[in-house]
Amino acid sequence: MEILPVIGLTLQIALVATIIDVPFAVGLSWLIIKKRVPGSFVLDIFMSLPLAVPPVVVGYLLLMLLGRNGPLGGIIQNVFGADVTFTWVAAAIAAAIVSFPLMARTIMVSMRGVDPVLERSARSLGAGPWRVLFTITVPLAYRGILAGILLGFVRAMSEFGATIVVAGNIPGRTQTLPLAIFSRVQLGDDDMALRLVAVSVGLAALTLALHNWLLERSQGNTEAR
Amino acid sequence: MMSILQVRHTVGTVLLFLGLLAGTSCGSANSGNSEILIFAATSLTNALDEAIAAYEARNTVQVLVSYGGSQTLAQQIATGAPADIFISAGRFPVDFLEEREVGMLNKTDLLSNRLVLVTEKNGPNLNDLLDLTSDKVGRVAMAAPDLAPAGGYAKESLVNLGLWDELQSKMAFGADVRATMAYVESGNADVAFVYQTDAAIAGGLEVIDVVPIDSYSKIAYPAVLLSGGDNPAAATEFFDFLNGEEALRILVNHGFSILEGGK
Repeated sequence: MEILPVIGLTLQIALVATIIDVPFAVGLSWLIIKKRVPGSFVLDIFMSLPLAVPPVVVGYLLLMLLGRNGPLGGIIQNVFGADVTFTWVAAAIAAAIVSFPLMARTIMVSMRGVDPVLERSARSLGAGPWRVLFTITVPLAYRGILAGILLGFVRAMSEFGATIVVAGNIPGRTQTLPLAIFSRVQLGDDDMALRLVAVSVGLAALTLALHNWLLERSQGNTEAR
Repeated sequence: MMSILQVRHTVGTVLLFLGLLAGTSCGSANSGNSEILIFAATSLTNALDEAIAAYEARNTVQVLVSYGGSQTLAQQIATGAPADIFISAGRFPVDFLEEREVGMLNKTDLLSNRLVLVTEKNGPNLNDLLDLTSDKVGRVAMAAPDLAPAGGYAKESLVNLGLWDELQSKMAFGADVRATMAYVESGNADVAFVYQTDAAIAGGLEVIDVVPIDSYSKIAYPAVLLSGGDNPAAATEFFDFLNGEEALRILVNHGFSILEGGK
């Protein structure tokens, strides 16, 4: 088997998952931390659930939702004439859901660190809530937000349990690095399994290094203030 | 407070990182018309890969194979996986598809196989299945009977020989037959029930042919041409190739036999 297409597919799926997650993660964090909308407590628990339940649960629920007989799957089948399940799109959706809590919770922490006095001052000077979000909160929390995005990305790259249920393990279509490693281990192909493991560890370490570097700078920034 | 320059610098680093990743990932995951997708029992891996290589050498079609436990694959097909062809180890997963009214264009009993035991080279010396109950055997591995027919046949054999209950406490179940064999290769089980074809390609393992052939049902590998695939024309052509002389010769070279009364 060739390694490069597997890496490409893994990155593609993780990237799309991350892009899906970012607006929801920033938006919900803002609603919960800064707006304290009613039901924030429940919302927080609900959006963190994918972190707490086994990934296979996420995969199974997605399969029921997006499958041919599922409520969403039927609609998509009618509109696009195609299945979502067992495609790379299904893998990206699974990765997006499983990685969402890590991203959102990191962003929530960084938003909590933004001094409310600054936001109130902006409001009192006439800025609307959106303007405050994009000119005060996000710029001040941006390192934490980027760190959260990277953490979500690294989790999306490593997603296995939900993916294999809703997207299968199809080489060239849905077989990401973790699934390829699983297949090679099953076949007893240690040589290829270890090469894929090395790639997987390398990509994860690179992303985590960047994440830690961002977080360190973000803490330094808070202290300086 | 950080300066605007700092902000740009950090954002730039992250964007560059993600951009580089995006750049390397363009162009993957295409599912053009020149591809057919096969779901096949893991035990077929080496034999089918060789047959496909022979086919691809003469045709422009690209054949993708998702290998797994037959029942796992059948479940995926039943929930909408766009497989063109399904080759199952055992009839049960195909019966399952028929129950779920999955569309089939054609079905043949492609191959047959036999069960054997494998141990490590200096593993326990076994003369018959009764020896599995002795102290010299620790853990016994087989594919999970519900997930892969290899496990189903092994269970059937042990039940018929009256050994199933006694061996319960020693059992370790793998997801499929290759995973089961890997348990022995890695020293995590002393003995495993596998197909003769898997045993044939396992370097470094001892093959012990002590599973009585009449203690379990005749093993069939049905091949099914499915109507829910993306590329029925190319799939039909490959299906015919698979049931033809050249492919069968390759598969038989890997230790499979042709089922009597089958095609």
